[in-house]
Amino acid sequence: MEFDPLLADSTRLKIVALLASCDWAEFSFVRESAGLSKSALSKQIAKLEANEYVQVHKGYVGKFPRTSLKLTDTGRTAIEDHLAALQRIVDQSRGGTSSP
Amino acid sequence: MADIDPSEASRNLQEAQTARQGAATTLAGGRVRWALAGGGVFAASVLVWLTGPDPNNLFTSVLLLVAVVAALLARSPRWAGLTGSRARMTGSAGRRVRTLALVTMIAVLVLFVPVNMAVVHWMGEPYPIAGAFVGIVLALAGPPFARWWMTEPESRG
Repeated sequence: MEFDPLLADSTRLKIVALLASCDWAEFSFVRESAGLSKSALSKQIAKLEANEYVQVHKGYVGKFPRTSLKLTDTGRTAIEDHLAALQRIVDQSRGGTSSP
Repeated sequence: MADIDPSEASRNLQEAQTARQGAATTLAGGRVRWALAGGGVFAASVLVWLTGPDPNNLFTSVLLLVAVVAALLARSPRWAGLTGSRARMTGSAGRRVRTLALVTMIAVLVLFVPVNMAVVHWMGEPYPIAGAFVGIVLALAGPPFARWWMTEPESRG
């Protein structure tokens, strides 16, 4: 279990944590839930996609564009390991026993 | 590992948890399109009730078909938008959303029994559009209840 440098950024952590609880999510839903602008989210998603953490599907329903996001297995493993590592630090600071 | 101090780690964990919880709450609350659709179905059913003999079976069948099609569409990232779904939650958040939907439906059905008894008492015949009535109550009463249920227990009024 290690820290992921990509998830050290709190905005990216928020996005990935949100996607981790979904099978898939619409771009606009993630944008509103994370409280980001369209361009800010696009920028973060591009980084996550380049690292194969997120899969982006762009399609159309009728004339309307619909972009959906999905966390890959790599991304899912990364967030789980990252959160476990954070939890271990918190546990250690409280003087509790940490899992190996 | 020493790069992150415990307070920052705790804050990051809290942010991740808040993001998940916020998504579940938004998802449960965002059902305006369903409420409008429920209102449309209800208005149409009243019109048919006033002009037709017994549309109960027809409406029950149509609503059942709509519910099945909507449930299937909601699984697809491409078509789910048509049903008002903007994400499909998994894990404990997904179980909460689906359990809540089921509990709300059962509660509304239970609520319908005394309403129908009152209609029978005043009008002498059972309300013939039970499906549409349940649909509209569910569409209108579901989201506020969902929002309340999804908030932290200590924040409930």
